[in-house]
Amino acid sequence: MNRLALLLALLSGAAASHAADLSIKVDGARGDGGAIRVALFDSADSFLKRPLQIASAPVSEGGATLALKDLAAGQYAIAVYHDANDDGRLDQNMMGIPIEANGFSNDALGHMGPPTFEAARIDLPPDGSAIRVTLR
Amino acid sequence: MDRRTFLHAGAALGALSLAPGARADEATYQRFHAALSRDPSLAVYANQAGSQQGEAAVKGRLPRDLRGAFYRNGPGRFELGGERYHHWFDGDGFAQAWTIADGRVRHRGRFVETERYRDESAAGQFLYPAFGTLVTRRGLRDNDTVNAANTNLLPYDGRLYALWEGGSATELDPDTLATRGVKTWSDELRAMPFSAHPKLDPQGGMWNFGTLPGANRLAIYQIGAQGQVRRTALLPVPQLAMVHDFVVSTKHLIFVVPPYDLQNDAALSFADRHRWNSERPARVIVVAKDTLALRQVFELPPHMVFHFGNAWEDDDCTRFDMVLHEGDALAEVGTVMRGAHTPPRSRTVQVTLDYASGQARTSRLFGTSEFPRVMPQVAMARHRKLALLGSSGASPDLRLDSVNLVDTDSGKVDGYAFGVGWQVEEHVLVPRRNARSETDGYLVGVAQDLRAGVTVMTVFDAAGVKDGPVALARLPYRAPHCFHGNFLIA
Repeated sequence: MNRLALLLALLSGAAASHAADLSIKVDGARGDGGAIRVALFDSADSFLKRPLQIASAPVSEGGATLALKDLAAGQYAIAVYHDANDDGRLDQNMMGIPIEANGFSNDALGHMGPPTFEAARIDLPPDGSAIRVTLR
Repeated sequence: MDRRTFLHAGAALGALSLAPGARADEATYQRFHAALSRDPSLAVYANQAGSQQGEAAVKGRLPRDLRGAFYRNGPGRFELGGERYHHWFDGDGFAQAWTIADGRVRHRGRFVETERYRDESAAGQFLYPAFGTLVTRRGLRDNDTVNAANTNLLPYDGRLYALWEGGSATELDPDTLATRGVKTWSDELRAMPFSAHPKLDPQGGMWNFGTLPGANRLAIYQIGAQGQVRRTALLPVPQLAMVHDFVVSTKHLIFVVPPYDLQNDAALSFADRHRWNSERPARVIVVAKDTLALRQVFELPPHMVFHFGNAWEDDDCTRFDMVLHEGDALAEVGTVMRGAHTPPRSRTVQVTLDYASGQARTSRLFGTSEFPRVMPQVAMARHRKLALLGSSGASPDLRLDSVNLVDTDSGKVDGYAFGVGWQVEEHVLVPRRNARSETDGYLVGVAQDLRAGVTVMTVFDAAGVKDGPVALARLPYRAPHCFHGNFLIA
């Protein structure tokens, strides 16, 4: 009985954990060249270090809509940037300040630096969610 | 996407991070207004709201060959939502133009519509950290989000720039002073700190530098006559505190780093993080113009330095003039925000850098003083005349109330004291066409008539400052006190 309950719990958990899709509408790009690149993080520890998923889309009308699929319901934070010159990195100036437009879920902002995971944290319900991020 | 990219950006910016938590400054508001009701002369530091436009009444003889626009900039908005900034350097830039044409003088003043000014106007309260007041009601993207554009106004290549020091220049319309937007010299220089004291090269183009709090790196820029980026460099400088100005000779870029220890305390404003350390020397950092590499570091006794005059090469030495302040002048100049005027403890010296011996020597040029300027045609070369504001001693708290042209060879002073009831602002030297000497021109500035509560543009003949102003152009209102400006000859 205990083993059955455990099995059911695992199955239901597994079913729920791979059901949710997250749609991300990004706007505010300066110009239409390059790509919008998105990274998804699932903890404060991994935030801006080890993305769980990444996605890219070409820019159209100053933005793009991207979908991250089959995510477990839970808490995440999204980082986005406009890779205007399509070189695969967030370009910075000599002082280490990003010179390409970027943004975070909740349109969170830091104080002379990126926001915390907590500030950018979103709750993804089992039936998925759609969010919007404005590049700055 | 490269995973390390996000990591790197996060780490680089983390070094500059501030903790949340706004600091109320209603107390500063109350203290200033109580002091202002006792001493109306403090109106010089009062809050400005809205634009200004008017014609000045000219007394005396306005020289026929003095025509053009006198562009100036200084902080205008200090108060919002019942709160007042703590430091004089915090306020939003209020750009001003005095236009001299056909014997008439017109004045216009208008706020630089920075991102900070627009956001805070819409919110009805301060949102972002200022230089000396930590406000963290709203997050920010980068240093240009908090750009105050409040320190200098520079006409350059047919354009006009409002300058701060921790971020980009802001371009304004030269006629209306309307804000055009943040100036990006090149994509790579987006959001780089661009100091308010670029040095115009008489051969064309300009030099400038930038620093950021805690970055311990000094960025150097050489900009061409059409605004193109010619060269840039990034120099590591340990224990780098606020560096406001620099000085340039034909061969060298010279910086003075005052002995402040920068506290890594996110609960303090940038200004308050500066702890004066009289145990350390001031460092003179000499960079070679040809290589943009560090040439030599000299030491001087501990002093704060805001401003320099000019530098020139003299055989194997470099000589330059600068204003030395005793003690923690950075904090002291801010106290006017709470209505307390701290008497300046400054003097102007000529410094000689002897590369062979490694010694820096100073010799006194003038007592209590500030705002040194030279004629533009002698910049980076041998000069003999230095314009300085001084304190005659007649005014309370050693207020700057005199205008002086100092002979840097003989030490002789040609000066005029406005005296009690006046406070003078930066005066600039304007050469006549094809000027044959450093006194062949005018000394033009602004003085605040404290008793009448109005602002006056002054014109002196540079060959006879002691004879008093040849013309005064008196506005029917008080214009905000400026820090720096430049005269664009028509």
